[in-house]
Amino acid sequence: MRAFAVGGTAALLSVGLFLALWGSPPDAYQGEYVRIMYVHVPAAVSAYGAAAVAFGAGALYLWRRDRRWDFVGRAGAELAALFSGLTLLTGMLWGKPVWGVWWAWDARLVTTAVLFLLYVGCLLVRDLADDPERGRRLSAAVAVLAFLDVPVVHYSVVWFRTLHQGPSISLQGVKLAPEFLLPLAVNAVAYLALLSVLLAERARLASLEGER
Amino acid sequence: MSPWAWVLTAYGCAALLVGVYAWRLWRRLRQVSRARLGEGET
Amino acid sequence: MKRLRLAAAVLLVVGSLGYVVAGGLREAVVYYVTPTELQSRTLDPRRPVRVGGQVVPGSLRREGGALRFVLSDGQARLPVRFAGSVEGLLVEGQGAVVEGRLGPDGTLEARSVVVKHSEEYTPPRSPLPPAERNAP
Repeated sequence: MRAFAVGGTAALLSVGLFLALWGSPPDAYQGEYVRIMYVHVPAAVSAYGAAAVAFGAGALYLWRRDRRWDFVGRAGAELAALFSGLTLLTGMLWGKPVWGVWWAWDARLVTTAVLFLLYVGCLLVRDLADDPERGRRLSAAVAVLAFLDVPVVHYSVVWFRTLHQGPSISLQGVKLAPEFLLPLAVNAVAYLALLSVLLAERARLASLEGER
Repeated sequence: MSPWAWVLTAYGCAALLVGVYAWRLWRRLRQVSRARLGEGET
Repeated sequence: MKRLRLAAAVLLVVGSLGYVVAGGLREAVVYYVTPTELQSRTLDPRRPVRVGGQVVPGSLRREGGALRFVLSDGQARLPVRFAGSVEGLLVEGQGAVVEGRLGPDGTLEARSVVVKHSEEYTPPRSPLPPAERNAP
């Protein structure tokens, strides 16, 4: 079962990479830089997913005090930090050549940086308390609160006037030509599969170590 | 830098970040399961 | 010792969080104003402004080492002069956010020009995308 999940994820990621680098045409305006989107957007989606897992597990831990929820919560927080960090990094590597700047103080970028820092903080507070149980509760509480930032990140480009472009895919329609939509969809699915495998393995490690 | 250099840098960063995380996770999992096995034998 | 390092790390994260939130509150709520809003506003000419809009097609040209173009939001138009070189992909018909001071003749003397990309993605109609045709 595990080998199947890992193998399937690797296959999906390979197909995604092939579509992103060879299958997709360049964009009419930004040219080849559009290929960075196929890492940036799936990474952001994975960060949302990991944040949702950390939120659910954190809430359940605070309610039930079952250590297993803490293991899942820790995995979720770690991967939310990893993928939001990757989102920021790939965003900057796209922003520098296309916008002309690495960073701008716009609402999308700021709220994403806040998301990353909240999950780094969530992982740190766990070890700060003298009593491990208090550390776990503190971490779960931060994970629950940090999730409130996810809708703010997502709708920041609608609610505020930003340098970052608005949503290309929303209820109002899809502004991506099908040539771009297919590689993006395959990569999003592949990254979510990768996220699931990493979540399961990280939670398993936490339970094996019985860590605090 | 050429457009492709930026693209490949972004993919390289992603592979490095996720790769290091996954590799460390795998190594620690193997260590822990070995330690478990060792305990079982003694 | 471990606790000290941990406390320093938490302090660093909380500090960066404060820094980012403060920067966001200062600038991110309204990242730029439109040319129409700029007209209807009485501005202190000494204060820099950040204006965003579309680069009017046909307006982009180089003049004596400076870049000139007109920024529009569909209603008002704002002429812009920029002495530096643009690092992003400035293309006519696409967005840009410029920062600078308004001159007495109504031209914005830009200190920086940042390209704003649209959320639309289309394959190129011509063999070379403008991004590569305009490459310096």
